[in-house]
Amino acid sequence: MIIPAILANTPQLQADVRRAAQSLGADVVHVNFEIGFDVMGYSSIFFNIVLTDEASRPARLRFVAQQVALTLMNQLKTDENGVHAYFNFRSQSEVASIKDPAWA
Amino acid sequence: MALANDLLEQAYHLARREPKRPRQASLRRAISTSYYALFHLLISEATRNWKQSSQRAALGRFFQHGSMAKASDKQKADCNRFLTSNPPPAPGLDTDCMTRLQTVSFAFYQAYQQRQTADYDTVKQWTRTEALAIIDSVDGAFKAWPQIRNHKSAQNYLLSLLGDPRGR
Repeated sequence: MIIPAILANTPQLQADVRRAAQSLGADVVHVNFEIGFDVMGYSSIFFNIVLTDEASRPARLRFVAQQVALTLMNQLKTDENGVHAYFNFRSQSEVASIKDPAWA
Repeated sequence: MALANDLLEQAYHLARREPKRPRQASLRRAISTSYYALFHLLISEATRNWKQSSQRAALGRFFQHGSMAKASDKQKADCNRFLTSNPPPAPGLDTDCMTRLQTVSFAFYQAYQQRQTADYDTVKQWTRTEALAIIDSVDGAFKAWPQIRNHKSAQNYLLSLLGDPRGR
């Protein structure tokens, strides 16, 4: 099994994600990620993204989610690095009510 | 198309049920249903090209989830490469098509993964925002597709959904 270089250097990846997250604007509260394999067996990065309650409203969620996903994929060059990227979004209120370490 | 549209509507219905405390079952079925909405939309569009309309449903059975996901992953990467090239692509029909095709292929490969988790991973807890973001992505694909359905790149994508003829 060959692991893409971007996933082998976790501290660098964390720094890159942190830098990318800072460029996402006020709608994004926090970006977390986990590394693993997707259902097709490809090396993948699973983003857990916490949005403000305002950005999570149905009227805004679609636009915000698309922008965040594209920005993270482009800044981290996931395609170029041979990594599949997946995106999950929760609101700040949801994260507060469900104590899930993956989203902390 | 009727089935695909009905499934998408049903996905939203399930995701919006139980306003205060959504049941996991509702959210899981919502996510899974949104995937199947896009799955059937794309198969319906691909089989429209088959002249014998009475055979289209049978032809649709040849499409496989994994092959469609792999094709969508490749298409999404191709679109991204095109759209982020330097110098940037000139505005026009091709760029417009690739932007919308990126929306469609991205939605499919995301929904494929999420559907597997929603259907089989009972440890994972879903929230309404997570479900709605996935369904919104599929809805975006539904809105993008009619604008590009006749473009050569979109038609090539439909054909690629059948899988690699060399079996890779």
